[in-house]
Amino acid sequence: MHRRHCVDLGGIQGARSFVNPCTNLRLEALAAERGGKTVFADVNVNVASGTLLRVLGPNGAGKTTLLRILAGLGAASAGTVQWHAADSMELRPGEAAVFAGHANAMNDALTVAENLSYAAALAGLDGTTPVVRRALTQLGVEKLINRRFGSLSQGQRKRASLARLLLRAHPGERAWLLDEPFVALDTDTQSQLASLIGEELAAGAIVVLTSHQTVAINASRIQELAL
Amino acid sequence: MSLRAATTAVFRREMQLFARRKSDWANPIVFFLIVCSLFPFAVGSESEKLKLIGIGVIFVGALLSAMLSLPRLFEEDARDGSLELMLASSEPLAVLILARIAALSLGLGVALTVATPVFALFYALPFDVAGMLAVSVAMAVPTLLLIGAIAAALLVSARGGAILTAVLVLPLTIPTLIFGAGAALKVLYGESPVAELALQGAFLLLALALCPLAAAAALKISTD
Repeated sequence: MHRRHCVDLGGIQGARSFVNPCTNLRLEALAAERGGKTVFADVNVNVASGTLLRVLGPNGAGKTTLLRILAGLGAASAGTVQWHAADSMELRPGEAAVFAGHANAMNDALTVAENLSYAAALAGLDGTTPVVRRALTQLGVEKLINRRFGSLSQGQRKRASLARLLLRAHPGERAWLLDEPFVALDTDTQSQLASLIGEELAAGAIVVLTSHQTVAINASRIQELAL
Repeated sequence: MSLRAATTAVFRREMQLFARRKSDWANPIVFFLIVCSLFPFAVGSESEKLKLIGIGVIFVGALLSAMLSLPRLFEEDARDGSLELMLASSEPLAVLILARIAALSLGLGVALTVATPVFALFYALPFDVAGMLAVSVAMAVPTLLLIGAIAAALLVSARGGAILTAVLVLPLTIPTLIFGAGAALKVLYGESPVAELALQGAFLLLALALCPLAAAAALKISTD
């Protein structure tokens, strides 16, 4: 039904296994509780492919809670979250989106490559070495591929863990759920990430973002959701 | 296909961690050694007495040292955030947990099973009894880890989880303890241990069928 928003990839794909990137996210009367207290209620949003959804609100407004619900990590107290592929087929959150939270989600004892291919396998993405290398190159940290995660600096850790978002066969394959992604990044990396987000949006992905920093992101469609 | 990729990845990661961090299997073995080597000093060197308590001490020692590894199942991953990868995966969580327990059982089970006949020498146990003890330890370790996974999942974000895990898990391992040590005792008395082994096997299968599902549900509740 939201087909008209989709980026036409008909010429590029051809492969059967290719998951159409054009997803649509619909929240209906969504509410969440934490510790028995309502953090937000009656959230209704309809987000089409290629849209940047900025989630705004003060600390404690439930931004992270919302993102976790979208990622399938938390349960809503009321309402529904629906991810749809372009052909209106409903997707599970794990198939539709990748979540990058405050934690790096990498084990200190394993190398960057081992961590990333583990993450890819669980998300149903491509964790083969060329893909991992390409993802790290896009973030300017390809030299770290065989380093133990525990031996990296904080900034390197953040970059290496963001590479998880780029482990896909085609840009725009998954929606990105980013919880304060610019924290702990230097300005160069911030603009690098912003341009990666821009590219992903242009390829038809939905990007949901919570951020207190004002980093300019090149997006043709921006929606804001105030909690 | 991607379920296979996901379970393989979980299993492989656990094995990589075993290879990288020697303390993961060395600590339980050292603990096991300490427990087993202290008793003969305390009890005295009468070999008949040692034989009788030896089976029980070795079995309990193996169970306790396997329990030391329980926090590794989820707690560490919860801290660094990689638990979320497993929770957010669209593959069934129970299967992923099972893959993880299988890997941990393999690593820890082999280490403890190999150590068991060696430590049995402290208690002057005959070779056939030591062998049977190793077999029942090999069966008891996965059972304990399966049961323990439920408690570890429930207490993943609780402070002082380790002692609470022990409180929750140990009573549930009593049947395994009775039949496991019982099998070795039967061999010591020259009787057939088949009944005990069969019951222990049944307990393992029951845990195999139920515990991953319960652990998955518990993990979802405690991380929500």
